[in-house]
Amino acid sequence: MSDQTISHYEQGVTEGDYALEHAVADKTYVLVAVFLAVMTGLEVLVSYTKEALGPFHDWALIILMAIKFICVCLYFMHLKFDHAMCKRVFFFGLSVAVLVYCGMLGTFQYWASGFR
Amino acid sequence: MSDVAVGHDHHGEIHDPYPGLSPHTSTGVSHAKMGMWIFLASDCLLFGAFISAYLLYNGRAQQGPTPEDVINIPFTSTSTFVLLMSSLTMVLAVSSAHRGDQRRLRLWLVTTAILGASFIAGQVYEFTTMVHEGLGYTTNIFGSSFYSLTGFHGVHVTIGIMLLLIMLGMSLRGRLPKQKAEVVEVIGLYWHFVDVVWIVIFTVVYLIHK
Repeated sequence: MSDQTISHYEQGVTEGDYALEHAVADKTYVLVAVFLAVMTGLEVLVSYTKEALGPFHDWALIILMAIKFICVCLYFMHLKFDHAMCKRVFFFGLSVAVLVYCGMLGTFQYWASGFR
Repeated sequence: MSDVAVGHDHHGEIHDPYPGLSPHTSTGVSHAKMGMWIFLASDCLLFGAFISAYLLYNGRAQQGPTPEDVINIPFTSTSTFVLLMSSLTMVLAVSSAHRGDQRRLRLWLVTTAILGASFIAGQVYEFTTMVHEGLGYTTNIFGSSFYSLTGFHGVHVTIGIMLLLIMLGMSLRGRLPKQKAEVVEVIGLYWHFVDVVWIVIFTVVYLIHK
């Protein structure tokens, strides 16, 4: 992935440069979208190989999901290029949600039986 | 919304992309954008509640159709692809707004709204099919948690489509000049969030539990 879309605020570029920078970035967005489409195809493929992958099936899907999630956050939501404060706020909320609900599922002994 | 954030260039000097329009903020991020990020962070908790409730209830249904009986992976995969592509068109709309290219901005906003509407149409079709197959909202615990989670997401997409149409109207009336590109960016953040939530739902509800 290209790093050409570094925040125009950080670079102190002119508006003209900003327009040019985004013309380049559009290609990056298309590449990310193609990557996400391929990953989705891969996910669907993996979902049909439950018997072959055994216990790794669910984890393979979760890893693919996490990669897609991070890609959208970093590139489409501009977290990779935007102010660090935005990243902190969002990932704080996300982390709290994950911890709270993993804990809640734990109290119901959900994890004892895997994802079922 | 003229509170575009002000940043610093490599010499540490203040760089204001739109002089006279940008009030300084203590965080370095405009209030509108920060407000949206805080909302999205809190929405993580809301969706987390629905997802964890689904996980907890799944497999505990005493009667009626189960996920294996009603979930149609090829159909939902197509819907997922449509929503992913809507994120691409949304980010292209944001890019056009920053460039001040009104024609492309409108084109990408309309395309995003159409893709979003196609996703919702797919969801309506899916729900209708499931009801015909015997899975109503109160049929069993799987139905209740499934419809609550996916329906709540569908409501988010519908609100997103309405916001896109409002922005289209603003653009047609000349109220979305380059200086107000941040409006499109902030709504874009909401749209992409709806997409990332679907990425999780698609894997957890449809692929792992099919």
